[in-house]
Amino acid sequence: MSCVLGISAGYHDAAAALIIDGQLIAAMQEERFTRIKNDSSIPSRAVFACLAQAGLSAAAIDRVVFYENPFAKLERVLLSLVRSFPQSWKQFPTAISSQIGSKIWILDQISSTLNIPRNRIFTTTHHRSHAASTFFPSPFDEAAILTVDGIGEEVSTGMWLGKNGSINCIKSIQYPHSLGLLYAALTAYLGFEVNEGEYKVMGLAAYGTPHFKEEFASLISLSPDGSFELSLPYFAFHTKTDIGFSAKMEKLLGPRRDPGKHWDFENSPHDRKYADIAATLQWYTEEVLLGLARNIRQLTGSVNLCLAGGVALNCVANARLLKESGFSRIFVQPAAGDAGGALGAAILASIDLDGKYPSPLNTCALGENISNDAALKLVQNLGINHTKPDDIFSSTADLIADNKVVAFASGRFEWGPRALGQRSILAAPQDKATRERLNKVIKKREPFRPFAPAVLSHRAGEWFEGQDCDMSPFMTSVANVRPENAKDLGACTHIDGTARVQTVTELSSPGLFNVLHALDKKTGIPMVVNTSLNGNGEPIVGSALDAISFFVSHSVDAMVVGDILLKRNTL
Amino acid sequence: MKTQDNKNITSIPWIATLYSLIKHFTHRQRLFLIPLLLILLLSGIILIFTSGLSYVAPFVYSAF
Amino acid sequence: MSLHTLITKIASHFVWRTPERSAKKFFEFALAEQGSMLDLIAAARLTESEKRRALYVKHMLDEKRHALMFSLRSAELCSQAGRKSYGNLHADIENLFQTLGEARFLAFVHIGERRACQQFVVYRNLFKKQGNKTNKSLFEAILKDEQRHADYTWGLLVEITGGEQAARRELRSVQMWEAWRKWRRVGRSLANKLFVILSLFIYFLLAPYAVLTRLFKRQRKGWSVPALEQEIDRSGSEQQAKRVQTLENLSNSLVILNNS
Repeated sequence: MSCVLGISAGYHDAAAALIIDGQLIAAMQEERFTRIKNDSSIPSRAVFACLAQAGLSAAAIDRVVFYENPFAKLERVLLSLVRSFPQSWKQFPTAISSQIGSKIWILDQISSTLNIPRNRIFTTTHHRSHAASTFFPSPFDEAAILTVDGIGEEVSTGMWLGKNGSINCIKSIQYPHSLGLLYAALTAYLGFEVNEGEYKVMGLAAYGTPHFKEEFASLISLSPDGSFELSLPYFAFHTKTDIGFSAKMEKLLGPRRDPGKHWDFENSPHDRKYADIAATLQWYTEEVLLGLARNIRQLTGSVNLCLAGGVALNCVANARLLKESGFSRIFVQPAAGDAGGALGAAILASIDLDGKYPSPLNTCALGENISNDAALKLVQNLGINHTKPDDIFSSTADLIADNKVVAFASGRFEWGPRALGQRSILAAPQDKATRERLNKVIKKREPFRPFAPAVLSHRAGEWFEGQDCDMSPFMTSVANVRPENAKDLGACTHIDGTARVQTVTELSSPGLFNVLHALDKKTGIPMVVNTSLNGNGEPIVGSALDAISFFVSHSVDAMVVGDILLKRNTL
Repeated sequence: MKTQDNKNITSIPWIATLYSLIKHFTHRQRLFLIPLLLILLLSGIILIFTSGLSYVAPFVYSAF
Repeated sequence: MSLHTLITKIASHFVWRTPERSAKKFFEFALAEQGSMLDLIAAARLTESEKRRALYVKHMLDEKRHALMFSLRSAELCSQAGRKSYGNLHADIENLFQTLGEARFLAFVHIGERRACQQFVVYRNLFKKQGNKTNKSLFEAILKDEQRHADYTWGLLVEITGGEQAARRELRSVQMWEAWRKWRRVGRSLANKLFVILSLFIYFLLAPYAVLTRLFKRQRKGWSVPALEQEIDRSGSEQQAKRVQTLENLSNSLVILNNS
């Protein structure tokens, strides 16, 4: 038996993935346990939870692979600080103390935290982890692979070929020319937090028009060979790491938006301008990705494309790639960000150790299961009224059909940033008012944030166009809502007429499948609004304890946790 | 090999890291960084022993 | 009057002097509350007692609410003072439950809550005197919860340790541990400042390095293949070739065996 563990940690999105004899047993993000959003600390809780899933202890691990090379990273940090000296004089002590004080010792910290011998701990490279994380779990034997993120050791964009059971680097673009860092800088400019606000910018973009193309042409230039170059005077990656843009960018685009300010498109011309900037950023992101995709298609001749890296979470861009890049099929591993690096590292270790490959990914339910027993004891001790219906899924469907908002925690929690029916808030999709309630009252989010529908896979075509692809089970693309049936989707059609649809099968999400099936019998519409089960600024819930705590502190109408039903009005 | 194998002579954690660090920087194109790196490592010793605490302690409301 | 209360009273005249300072202080309190919340979540997850788990969950939800109250007040005052808010809360977890064990964790929390009660009474009285109704009401509301927290943690501590005497021993032990932690925090603060000063000396070395690096290690534009990836691909091909060779040898041996 071979047992390998992949780990990502140190910057954001710490995670662990466990593979035994080539089979993916479990993959979990640390934030689900510590309740710290984007927790970057060594994912000890996630590791032990993965091992518990397999009934093993740390002693059984043959190899641990860390998702990147900390020494190559130190080299790049040192060189970029030195190169930009004296402008980087302020940043120098913080950056170096972080590297020298902590980050270069991460392999030792993993060894001591997990009690694993140091000589069983290895490294791979950041973008190779990304590439492996998307190619090997894909349904393809052969594919072109694009990895696009902020920065790994020194690479920001990688082109790879996956073939004959291996991946090989074709070419790459290096720091500081980075699409991810461009996106991050504009995210900060628009008043959102970096590494958390990028998908908000994507949602905001639909409210604007790309009127700032001329200004953006000063920020980034695109080459016919698919590469791109950032105009560095507009950026401040090494001097202002929390915002990443310089005063020159504010001169170009106007003052940055104050963080935390309320959005008002109707009455504020400034907010409309910021939406236009977001739209322009989205347009440029799509153009860059298209250029890269067309170039790699030309180089490899492949009809399949795999995407990874944080930029691959841009589902609007992914939909456009499928339409226009020339690739027939596109797969995006759902934890495309740094958490996915843990999976990629584990897969590489498994292949290296005994030549075993994982099966294609057909579900994201790779986390810890809900303990019915623990849930019952907690609700009893908290004095919360509860029932145990004979058919919990049918009862859930009844509540949703009755226009109730139901928090749903069933089975193993998801791998990746999307809720796919394991830890979701479900509601009927028809009424626009539902979206208002979800945004303002329950999740307390910005008003422009869209909600996504989940629909039975074999019926999805009735409401959506372009939903039938390898990305829709994992919500990594968007589809157009059919205008003739748009009335059924008032709560989850975005302003641009698209929806980030999740197609559900019994294999991908059994609990949600059963709810949709029951809803279909009741209403004829096997579809729900599916948003993640978490409060504002919090990670998605993991355990029964997290779910029940959410129920107590948020105004959902009901909650399903395991086989127990909690209803608000019976408290 | 797709994973970089740390087949070094010792499995003592901190030594293994120092060995890997030296191995990485004794590459032809990185040699010139070694003096700077050594100085940073020496001056960074004090940081290694003082990490691990949060900056605002839980259950503590500082009076100042 | 305890020393802590006296220090709080003296400091409060400076700490709450202006909206900016008040905003910063409220933000720090919000961070402390969020940190408490995170440690209580861990405690709820790890405790073996179902009854205590439920109590920690209730406590955790109170801390979460307090964090929100403090951070909203901080944002209000920032707006009054014409400055940007301090942003989202990002507290760290200190793994107190795992480090201390349940009894000492309860002792630590009890001391923290008791101290908070003393402190918030001072602030409530100060704001009452100043006629600042908002701040006064805020501390009054939170004070009720803190008192309850102090009471229940004492009750649990006595229960777990088997009596009041043993409970007081745990309190003393935790106070010693906390003193050592404060010492480490001072040490860390000094170490960081020392490193900054050392960095200033290092800057003299950096100037020639900056020139050398700009001349000989220019930033690359466009496409390239990183040396690290080339190495891995090369050794990957070698290993793949070895595997193919091994399989071929095995297959040949099987053929020979079959024939013989």
